[in-house]
Amino acid sequence: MTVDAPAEIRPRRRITSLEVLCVLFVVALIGQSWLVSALDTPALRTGATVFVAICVQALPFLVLGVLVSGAIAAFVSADTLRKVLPRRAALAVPVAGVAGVALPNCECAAVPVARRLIQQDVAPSVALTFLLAAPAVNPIVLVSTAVAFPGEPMMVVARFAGSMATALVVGWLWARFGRGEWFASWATRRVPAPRGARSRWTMFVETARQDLVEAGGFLVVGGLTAAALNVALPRSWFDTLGDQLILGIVVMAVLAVLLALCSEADAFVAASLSALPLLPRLVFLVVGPAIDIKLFVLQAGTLGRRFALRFAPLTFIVAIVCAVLAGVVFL
Amino acid sequence: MRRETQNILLVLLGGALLKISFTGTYLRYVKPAHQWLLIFAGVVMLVLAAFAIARDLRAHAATADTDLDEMVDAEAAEPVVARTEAVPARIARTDLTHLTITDPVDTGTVPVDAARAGGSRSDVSLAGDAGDGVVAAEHSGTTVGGAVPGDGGHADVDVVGPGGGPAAGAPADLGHARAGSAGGHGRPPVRGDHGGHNGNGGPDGEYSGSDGRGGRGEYSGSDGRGEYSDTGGRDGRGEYDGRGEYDGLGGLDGRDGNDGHGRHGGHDGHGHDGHDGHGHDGHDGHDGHDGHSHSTRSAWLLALPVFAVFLVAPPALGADSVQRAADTAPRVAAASEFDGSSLYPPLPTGDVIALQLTEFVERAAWDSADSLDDRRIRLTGFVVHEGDGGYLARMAIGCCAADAYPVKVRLDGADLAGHPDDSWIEVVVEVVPDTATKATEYVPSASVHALRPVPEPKDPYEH
Repeated sequence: MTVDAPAEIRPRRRITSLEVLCVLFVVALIGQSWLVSALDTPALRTGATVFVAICVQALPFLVLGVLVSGAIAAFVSADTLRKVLPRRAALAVPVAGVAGVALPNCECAAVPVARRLIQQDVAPSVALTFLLAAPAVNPIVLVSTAVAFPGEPMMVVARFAGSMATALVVGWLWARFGRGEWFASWATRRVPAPRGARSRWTMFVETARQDLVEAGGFLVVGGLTAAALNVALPRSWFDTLGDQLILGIVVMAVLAVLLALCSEADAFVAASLSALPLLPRLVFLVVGPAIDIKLFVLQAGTLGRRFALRFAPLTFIVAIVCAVLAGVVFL
Repeated sequence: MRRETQNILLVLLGGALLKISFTGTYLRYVKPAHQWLLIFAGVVMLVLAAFAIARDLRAHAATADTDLDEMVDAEAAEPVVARTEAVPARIARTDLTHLTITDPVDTGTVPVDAARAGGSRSDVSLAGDAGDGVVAAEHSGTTVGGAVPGDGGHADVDVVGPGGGPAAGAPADLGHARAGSAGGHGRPPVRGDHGGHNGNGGPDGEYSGSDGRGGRGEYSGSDGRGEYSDTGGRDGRGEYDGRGEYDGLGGLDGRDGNDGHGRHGGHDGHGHDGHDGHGHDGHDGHDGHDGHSHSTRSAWLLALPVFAVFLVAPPALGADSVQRAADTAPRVAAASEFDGSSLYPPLPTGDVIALQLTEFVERAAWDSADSLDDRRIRLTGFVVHEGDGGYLARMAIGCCAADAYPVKVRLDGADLAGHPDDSWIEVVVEVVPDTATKATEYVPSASVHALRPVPEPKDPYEH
């Protein structure tokens, strides 16, 4: 490509994303009144509110998650993690489960953290156990469950047992059958350790920023989906299942996936579904934090689609089984 | 998406969170306890974005000077066709800071692995194999020089670095790429390829970037950065998906350039028409771009909540949600699990007392002491018309509006015709005993003694 005329040597201007964004904003501003009136049907209005609510509610936790993730990338070396964790994945899995109790983390926050752990050479099974345990068995969630079910202390115990069992079983299954190639290659690439304090901080900020931008986008997709389902699902079809236990369990598990509630809040929803026996509601509480539609999108975006397509069904089934067993034992 | 765009989106999103937390609109979406979390999140987003913008500006300023010089040099120059002799290129890895390029001459393949490089690191290895590769690199913005490894000594490289960008690119440590006359053929290099060798190839075209360090480092092209799109037919190398959008800027500290360019921003596109000689200019020098081009696309979606908050500002849930849930089972939380009598302390004395709608409904349905009977209660809520009845309703949330459920009371003896759905009223009522039964789905009835419109409360939900 030889260019002769000086004029042509000038940089070729391309339309960049920045310009696209500006145009988008201008169009949106001009069309604001149209936009508002288009959203003025009751269903869309409700959907928009639920969408904003999910985003507004989850973003702070995602921010916490990316800060932890950035801190791990910048300040915790792979060596340190190796020293802390037992060498054998089978033994390290329970350690990760316990770590989940100690580190209150919303499910959205746990995803970037889990990816960072994998990047720092932690065995994927261990990171995944943490991913499942952190949002489900932490003290905040257990307390809110106790508050939502004031007369049922065993509900808290059953939830803890069911969720912890899910995390451990999935971790062990992954240690045995999981394959590294299921992760997208860009997801697990190691970040080279920074040298020097200044570059550590730079790295901390840059990784946190990058994680936030990426995962935030996926969170928005998840929020959109959940909001649409929240509005579109006729609530009545799962409310009349009082006496059909098996169907109730299946429907509540599916509902947990589709509604994508925060693990802090789902206990209140479960408590309010008083037409159902406790067992299906326990399934709802155990499945919800482990896998839901918003998490699935987030995982697919963060760790790769091939991973998410395997991990989601595995988690879903294991969570149902563990919840039912925990329910039989404790309730 | 370019890094700048991401930063702007982050600023907007952080601004949106701060806006709703300070104006109180956040109460339409989440419970009051989330206010501090929202402020925290908004501030963190602003700080992250500000930090990144500051780094970009610094990098930009550092480049600007170089740009000028290069522009001048370039005036006279012509595009180059450089013949490289044995250009070594191996780009081994870029870690956050460096890109090392070495060149195995004669390697047969050229893996370019730039795009996929995750995070901040990117490994690029490219090695030119083929003998005569013709590489034309065209970059806008910042330019990139093409590095071309040829193996056998000749790769024809056209490097046009148009833009005064400081160019980057080329594998910095190219051992020596000779261009131009030096190589015997070829015309003098033109501007543009500097990068590893910054342009230094004067007329005689010899840019030996051998040590790579030449000024390079840090070129984040001013405008060019980002958006790297590659048209070229490189053969092969898989992982590079060419789709671009690198956001350039890079490395966390690429400036020390010891080996080569630290970062360079984007160049876009080099077409390579060449057959495999590729050279290929090390993109990727910029390590900072954190890679995954796959995912930066998702960042566009961050604009949605921003639009929603600033332009639409969806209202709190109201009558529509109540009607939507109309046919569901009772949602009298928790209380339904017990017989309940001990749960409810006696009501305070007084002529008219205010209660939350939730508590009113629960007491009406479950309190075996019937503490509500014959008491006048003041309730606040919005109007919902369902069938032939008028209701006073309120949404209760556990955490955010996604988990909201309605509570309602049927109002008897009030003319609600003048009060459309979603209009807020305050009523003084007396419960009609035994109306909250399974038949009514535990929705009590109440006779209205007084009714007046009120503005929507700051927190539209009950908790």
